[in-house]
Amino acid sequence: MADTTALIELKKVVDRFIFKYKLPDEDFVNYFEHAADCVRDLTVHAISSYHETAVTVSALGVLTMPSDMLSLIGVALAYKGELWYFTEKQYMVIQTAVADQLPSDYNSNWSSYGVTGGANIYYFRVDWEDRKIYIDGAEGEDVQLQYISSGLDLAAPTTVPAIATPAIDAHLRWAQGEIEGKSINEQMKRERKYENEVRLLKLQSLPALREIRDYFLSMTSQAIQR
Amino acid sequence: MTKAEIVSFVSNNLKKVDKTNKYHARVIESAITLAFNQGYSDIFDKDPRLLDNYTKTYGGGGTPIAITADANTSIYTSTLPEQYVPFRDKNSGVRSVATVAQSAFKLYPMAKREFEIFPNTLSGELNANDPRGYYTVRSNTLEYFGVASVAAAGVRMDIVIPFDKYASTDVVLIPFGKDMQLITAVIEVLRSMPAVDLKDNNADTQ
Repeated sequence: MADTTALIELKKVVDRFIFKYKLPDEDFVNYFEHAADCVRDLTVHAISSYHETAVTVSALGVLTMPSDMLSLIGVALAYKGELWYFTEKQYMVIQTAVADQLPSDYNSNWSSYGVTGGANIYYFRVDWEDRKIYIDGAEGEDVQLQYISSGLDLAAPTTVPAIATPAIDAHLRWAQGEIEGKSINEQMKRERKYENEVRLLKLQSLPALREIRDYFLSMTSQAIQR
Repeated sequence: MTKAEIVSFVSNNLKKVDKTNKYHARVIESAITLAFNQGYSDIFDKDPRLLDNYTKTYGGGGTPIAITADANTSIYTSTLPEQYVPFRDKNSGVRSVATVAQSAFKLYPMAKREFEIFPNTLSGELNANDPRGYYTVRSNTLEYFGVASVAAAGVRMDIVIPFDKYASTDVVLIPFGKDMQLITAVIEVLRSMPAVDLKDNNADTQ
């Protein structure tokens, strides 16, 4: 026997909200707008879903951000089945006069202080204004870009984890209260309900028990018990 | 009751006003229409969704209502098959519009202003590849957004139409719990018409 799917289309979440709360369908489009806003917030703050995509860095070391990228998780190079993460270097100079180009005299091996231990040979710096990531060390190569997306899909129906439905419903109830001019008390009650649902939703992004077990075991030294 | 039966009932309950005792049928229908509109309005105030019980369906039965793109505006449009009773929400008297065969594709009403702003909204942006149909109700047409995929097949509609637009043989549901009130109201309206002949010689037997 199959169970219901773990992902649900956003428009169906709104359909079901209207259905559950016995609302007239005339405000569907308004509720959908609020639901889309809600999903974008939840994607950043509560739903632990992120995008990982292979992108090619230009020969000049420039990587253009995907249009849906809201925040960066990491840039990495796939090597022998594992990811090698780049290090962010805030003082990498970004040349704005010549578009899409790293300074020609940039050398990531510069060091003005004594250096201890190993040093990464791959660096990046994020330029949010121009929506570019400048890469040093992997020019012209394919890298793995991990980022938080808006969660709103322009190429296909937007889906959300079904577990997020109570939080979206609570957000819509709160929005409904504002639209209908409910009392401040009622609006605050609904806002608290939404916040509580978001709090519960965040629980699903906690590490699984198995991961925690692995973590503890990896920290212990094991020896034969005599 | 059919429309003809309701009209007949009212007609037979009117005070005789002259020797012929004839009220023009059109006058009676208009009076009933006024009373029914009031009844629909009361139902709307109670719960707009309950009006679904008093709609007439058009576009079913193998003859869907056509949707065509206007040559100048490119807006998809349908001509309404009948007049509707207006209500103060976005649907007005066109209570629902749906694809001819039931499907996951749903159509929702919008206010005219929302209709114009829609492409600039997040919903409008997402609608490009995840289409929902939207419509705005005009006086004798519907204007659509996002119906390109279903336009060829047409749509069906459920409309609250005025009483006088029903065919004589159509069954017309009297707004629930209002039977007595509505019929009495109609008769009261018509009774206020003064008799043309005040001499009391109309009686069958005296």
